[in-house]
Amino acid sequence: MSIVMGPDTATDRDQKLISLVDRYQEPLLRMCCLYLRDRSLAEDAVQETFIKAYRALDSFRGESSEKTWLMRIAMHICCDINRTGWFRFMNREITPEMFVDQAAPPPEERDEELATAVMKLPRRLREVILLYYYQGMNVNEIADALNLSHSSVSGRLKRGREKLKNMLEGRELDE
Amino acid sequence: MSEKIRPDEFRESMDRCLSGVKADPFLAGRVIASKEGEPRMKRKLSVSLVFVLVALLALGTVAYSATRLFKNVNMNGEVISTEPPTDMADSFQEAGINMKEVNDLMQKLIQEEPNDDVIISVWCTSPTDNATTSSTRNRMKTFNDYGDFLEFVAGVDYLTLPAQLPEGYTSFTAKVYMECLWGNTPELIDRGEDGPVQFVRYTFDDSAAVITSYEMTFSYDNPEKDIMIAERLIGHPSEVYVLRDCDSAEPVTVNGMEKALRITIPGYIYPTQIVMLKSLHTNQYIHVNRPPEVSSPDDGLYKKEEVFVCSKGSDPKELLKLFNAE
Repeated sequence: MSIVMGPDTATDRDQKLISLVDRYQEPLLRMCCLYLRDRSLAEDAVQETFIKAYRALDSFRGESSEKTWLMRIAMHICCDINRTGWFRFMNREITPEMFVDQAAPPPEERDEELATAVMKLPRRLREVILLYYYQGMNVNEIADALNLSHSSVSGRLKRGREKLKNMLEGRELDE
Repeated sequence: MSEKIRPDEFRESMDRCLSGVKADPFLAGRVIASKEGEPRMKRKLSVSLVFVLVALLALGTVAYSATRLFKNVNMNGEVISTEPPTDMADSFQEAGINMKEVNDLMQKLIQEEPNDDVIISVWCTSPTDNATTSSTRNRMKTFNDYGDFLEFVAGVDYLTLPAQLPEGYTSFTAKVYMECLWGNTPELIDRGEDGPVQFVRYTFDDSAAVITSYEMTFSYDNPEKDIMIAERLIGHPSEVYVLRDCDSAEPVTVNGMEKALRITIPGYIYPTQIVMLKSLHTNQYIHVNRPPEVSSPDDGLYKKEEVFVCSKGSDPKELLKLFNAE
């Protein structure tokens, strides 16, 4: 586990921030895109995540991993965005192709089916499915990030898998 | 038998669908600059002394026409269209929003305030994208005196505000802006800075802007506290306010509030919120969901006006005193 502890100088803080942004910006951004289903909001959420992280560098004790810590901040920010008037105004039509690089090889149909199904999951199920399967976090780390009990995370994972199985013909997530 | 999707296959599928989502090489610089550009915030964070109280009042007004009975107006309150509804307007109508009431309110507010006194926030819709947001802010109306602000909102009888500045709160600012819809393709100008957070800014044609809501923000400073209060009224379709498993809520009594709840959100930067949901539009409700394991009042239909009082670290009772101006 890499630890960010007690920055001594502004330069140290800046360097640590740069390092965090370097390593975790893209995973956070992709996670927030899938969570919020909107790129602009996701970019705002990630920027806000790093702003909060930067301010809290001094108090981060390394009790969780940097990734779990940042994911926790990002999930709270996304949750907050979810509650705002801005989010309520958004057109929630789900089209995964809006996140695809037009210059890159297009994703396969089965990729888009999976992404669409995940984005259609209820928020509570979507977040645990994404953290577990996309971010590779284990149940304990997810419980820590979302401030949930181990059993709640396991239960949501189970319900999320079931819902996805119903949405994906002939496919299901491996447990 | 179903085909199993392994985690690595899941990741690869998601990454292929997210190939256009790339890291921003300037993000770290902006984050660092955002703090350097905020000396007041820096001091506040370093010594944890300064009090910040922010109240967001969003008068939900939806100018998008839902039927031919209603008109689209521009930021000047002038009729620009009597076109029939869009998908969004349909959703408002389906949600049971009283469009005439909303429109009347909006027109009243527009007439009360000169154009130069508002900030315009834009919700942009482009022909190719579903939606993009921006927070372009112009022509802000600010208040230097709390009395002026109270006077400004005096005609709006469903705003819930402290009757006076709580003792010890000396510095006060307030802003007013309208939220608009704009139907043309946004032109990205640059990332502009707004406080500690930067926004993507877009140009927009004022004449095509359709006002969708009206929002007011005010804040206090106090050298000893660090509390945030947010209050807003939104005319958007009813939204489920979902408590998470770890959240808790209990009824509290607040002057001028109806069915107020104190909600505790562990881990959130403002872990304590007081929420009051009061009628703005007839038949508009918010349903507060309660996880079974959380001690909270019964699930119920809470009316539409929303009041949030958020505290960062201080005694929740202090929030009640604050909002009651005790």
